[in-house]
Amino acid sequence: MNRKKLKPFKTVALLAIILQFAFFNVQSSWAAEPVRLVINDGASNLQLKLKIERAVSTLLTDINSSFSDNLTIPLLPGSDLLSTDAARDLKQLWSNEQFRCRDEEVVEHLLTTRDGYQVRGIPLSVKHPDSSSLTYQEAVINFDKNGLIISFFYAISPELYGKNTKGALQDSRNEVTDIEERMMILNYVEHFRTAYNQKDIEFLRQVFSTNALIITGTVIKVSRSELNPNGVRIKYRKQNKEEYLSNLQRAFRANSYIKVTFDNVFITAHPTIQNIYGVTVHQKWNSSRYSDEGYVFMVWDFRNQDEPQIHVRTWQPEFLTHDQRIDSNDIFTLGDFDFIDR
Amino acid sequence: MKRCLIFCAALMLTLTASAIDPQLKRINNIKLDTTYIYVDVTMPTMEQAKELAYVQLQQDVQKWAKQAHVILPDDINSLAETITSRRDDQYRFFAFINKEKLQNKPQGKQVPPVPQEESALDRIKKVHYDFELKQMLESLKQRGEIKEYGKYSTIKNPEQCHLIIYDEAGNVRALLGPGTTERKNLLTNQPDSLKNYRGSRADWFILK
Repeated sequence: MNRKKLKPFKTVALLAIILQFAFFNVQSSWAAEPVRLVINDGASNLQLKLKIERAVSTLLTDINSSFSDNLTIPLLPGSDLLSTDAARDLKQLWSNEQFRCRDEEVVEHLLTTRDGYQVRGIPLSVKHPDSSSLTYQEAVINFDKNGLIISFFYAISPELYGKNTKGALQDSRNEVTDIEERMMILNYVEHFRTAYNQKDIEFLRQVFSTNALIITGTVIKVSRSELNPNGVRIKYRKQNKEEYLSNLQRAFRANSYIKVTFDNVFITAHPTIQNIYGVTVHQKWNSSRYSDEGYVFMVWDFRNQDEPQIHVRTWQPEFLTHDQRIDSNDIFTLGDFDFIDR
Repeated sequence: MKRCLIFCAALMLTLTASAIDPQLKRINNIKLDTTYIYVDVTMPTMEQAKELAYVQLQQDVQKWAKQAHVILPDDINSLAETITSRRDDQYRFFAFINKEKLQNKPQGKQVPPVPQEESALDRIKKVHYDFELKQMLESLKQRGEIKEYGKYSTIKNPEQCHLIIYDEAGNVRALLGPGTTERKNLLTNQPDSLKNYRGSRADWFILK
């Protein structure tokens, strides 16, 4: 063959390869970018660090591809990186709302927990189910001791989380010095909150104790008096676990989406019974049919740390009238309930 | 043709490089550089993000200084550099300090001061929200560090009482010391008066 005749062909082929590569890069920057997690601290075992980085990078890249392609069931990594339970929970969450990791590169610490490891601060953009608007939300990912992803939750505001954990070390009035235990409480609170977004009635059934007391406050109008100058007061309704869950199940079915967020999380330890905690959160409930804001107070029992339970859950509206907030002294606390140590 | 190839290769490299936001890259490089202490806060408003970032930065720098035996300059936050950005409906405030800027006065053989337990008043000063105070005041009362507390509507001897003033959202606006018309604002150390907070909610407490 004549070498001179081949030259233009080779050049065109090379040009085609370069253009194809450039086009791929442009296309991928418009569509789903690969996401990379880099752990900058907290990992003493290199193999484990690499496994966790690979697991999270693969998971977030799959999620972003699913978001770009508008998939109804998300692509997820295999069971060597993501546990079956975590995959099921992620699919449940995805069926309620879609999200993507908003940064192509995430740099975070690896935290050690009682059962394994944790990465916080994964930046997500969550698509509102009824519009194309995006809201910011951070995720927290938990791993077992081998680096397998075992859960993916929406995080409590990282600042408040930091404040709570730091507060526990600095403020003796809480009588909680065990940072791991405090992380474990917040982990369950995050799981509990995400369960509403996932419509995961089974987790809620599991976490409420058999004799759980559920109190829900509703604002009612009463005649104006010295005691009620605004003509309103809160009427409380008591429910047992089954009544509450059955009403919640109905709400899950009736609403195409449910979005629950917690902020201003505050945790206190019971003064006499070890491993009983009062958790107060400001809750925003947003669903396709109904929205409200109020305070949720829960009594968490961590005496069996493998299966913590909620004995009490109360809800009180934030506003009594359009401009009158509930008095903070009226929000339930641990002191409002009597416990008998078993 | 050669020029065309070079142009295409350069274009490709530019497009590849531009895939990562330069601001994000800068933040991540600082996060990976162990010579920096950093905080990364995202909140619904820039003011909230900034406030929390500086509080956290102070705490993190003090923790590091204790371990490194370094005496810190007075105004740590003035040494911090910042990067701000929007994250969907929220605001990111990233603040960082190079440790070298803080390392000019080593403690040498100085004996570290014995930590003293915080007084009830010091603890109350640190609280930002009404619901936190409610639980704290009850706890302090049970521990005998305050005599009594209550809503402003139940106050009996106002001249003996400290007053905590809240805004509508329950944020602490002021902590006023005992007094009659003139009181001292213990958060600003300036003279203040209850008259300046008409329409606000308040709680009172009496120290032991």
